[in-house]
Amino acid sequence: MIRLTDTTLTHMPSAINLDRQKIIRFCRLLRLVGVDFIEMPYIMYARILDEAGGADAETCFSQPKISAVSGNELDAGSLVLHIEMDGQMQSFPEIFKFVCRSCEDVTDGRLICERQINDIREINRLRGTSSLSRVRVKGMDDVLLKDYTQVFSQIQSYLGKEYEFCPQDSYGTATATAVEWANLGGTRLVTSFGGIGNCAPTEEVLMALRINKRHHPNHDMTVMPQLAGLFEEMTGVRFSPQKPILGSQIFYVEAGIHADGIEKDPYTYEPYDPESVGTTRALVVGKHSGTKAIEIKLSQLQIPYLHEELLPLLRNVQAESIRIGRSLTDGEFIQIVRNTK
Amino acid sequence: MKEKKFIVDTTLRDGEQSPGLAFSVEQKVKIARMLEDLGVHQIEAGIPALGVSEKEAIIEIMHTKKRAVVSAWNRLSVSDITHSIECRPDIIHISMPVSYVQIYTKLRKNKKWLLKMAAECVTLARDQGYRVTAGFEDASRADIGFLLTLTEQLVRLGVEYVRYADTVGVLYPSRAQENVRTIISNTGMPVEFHAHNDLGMAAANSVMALRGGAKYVDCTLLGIGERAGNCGLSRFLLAAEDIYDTGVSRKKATAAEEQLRPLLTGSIY
Repeated sequence: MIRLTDTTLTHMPSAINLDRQKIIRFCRLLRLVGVDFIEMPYIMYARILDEAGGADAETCFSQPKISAVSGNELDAGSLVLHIEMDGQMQSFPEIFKFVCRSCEDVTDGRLICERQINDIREINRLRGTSSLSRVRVKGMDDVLLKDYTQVFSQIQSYLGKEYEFCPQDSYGTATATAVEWANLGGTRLVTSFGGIGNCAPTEEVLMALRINKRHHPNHDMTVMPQLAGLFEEMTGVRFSPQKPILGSQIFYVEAGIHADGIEKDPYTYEPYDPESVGTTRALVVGKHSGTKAIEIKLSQLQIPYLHEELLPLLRNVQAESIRIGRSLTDGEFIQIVRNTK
Repeated sequence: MKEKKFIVDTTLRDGEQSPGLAFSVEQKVKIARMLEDLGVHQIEAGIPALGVSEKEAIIEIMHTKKRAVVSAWNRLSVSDITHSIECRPDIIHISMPVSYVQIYTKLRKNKKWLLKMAAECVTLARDQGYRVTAGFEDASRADIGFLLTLTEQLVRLGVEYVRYADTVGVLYPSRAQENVRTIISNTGMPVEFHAHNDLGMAAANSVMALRGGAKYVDCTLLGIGERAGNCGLSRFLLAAEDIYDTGVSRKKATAAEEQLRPLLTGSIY
């Protein structure tokens, strides 16, 4: 069983000033899509409790529920606090998991010691951490470009199977590294939404594991647009329309061959159902359309047509698209239909 | 010394298929010139069957290019190849749907038909003296046994190399490496790898395909392309430049991408 920890809140700029309700909603949405643990700075957690008037963690994070799905409510048991010194654990007895970068020789089972490995030549440094109860290995940006099977095996010989792995993305390969690590038997992955903080993007890892390993096939990813919108509000970051999983236009289709294939069976040109991530496909017409796409568009707009009208109409659509340097709006398409008849 | 690999840029074909983009002849020629200046090995210039404007662009690119190899993309169709021949490209590339869903559901044909059409189309182009490459559309969801049968036929027909396309972007790195290695070791056919970024793994899959023995890798400027796009050129170089010599500078590729960004990221409407 793969367990996934999302560290988005640890990487958000000015995290301490974020709206409490937004943080709680963000956490609940993460749990819905399949995240097992949510990491946040201990100061953020303390402020949330403080603003709630001294209410306990269970009260803060469990009400109101956003889903009736059993097990998806957020509670203190799914939180990981990022602390600066191991002594800070004592202030949060209700929390079962902490992460610290600076701890040494601590054997408390609740503490995970984070070790940064920037280059695979540094992995020998992990030998000395075997006395710590749990370890998170962070970095290893270049491991996929080396003999990664051997490297992962070597780390396992130092740390055992239970270590956490947080691949970083300096070479643009963090998602792939996470997936390969899971393929080789790794079970505890650390990611961040949208890849903030140079981590593997949570949404990409979840979908890749779902497709390739049937991981969490029943979790509700339809809330991805809500998560993305909330993330954008909280960070000011805007996702590209082509961003994997989250982009607003990833299921738009124009090319004739693709429009035809999707009309027959969406599986021909879609890696997963758009509705599974809360979005829909849309047909746009332009330079790359074919007669089938024109036919589909006419039907969608409930415009009657004769078969012999399709080719001249297609040529006019393509010419206009090239002239204006983009696809056509429905209004522009309707105008061309009128002019062509 | 780094191993030599070759970049096939498909900004002007698969990249332009990104909804919202529609390059003019002048824009295509300008982009091709920049790609040549960057040092890409091959420019996939477009789809002649799209019409007069596309053919005009490909002919102009052929006239102005110096070192780069220019290819034209075709469906598995005699008509498409006839359009391509009018443009006189260096390479005629013929795309062949190879997965069950592509052959039986989209084309409503069967594997026997595909093998016959592949022979007919390749022979047409070869008889006219063209270098021919073949594209395995949706290879990552295809039966590897059928891919080997098809590849063996293409070896006999004189196809120079085959494109292994992860059309819907569902491969992961070790599988990309293994599948490419299987084709090469069983048939001796050189392989070009074509990734899509649906799961954010296009660059990693491309590097691993090269490690599996692929000689060519497909990229687009800024990673433009269908859905979440193709393998972005500068992103690929970031992952690959320490291992492979592609003859393309990442710094220059990044600068070219930024210069062309307004043209490459037009809105849908």
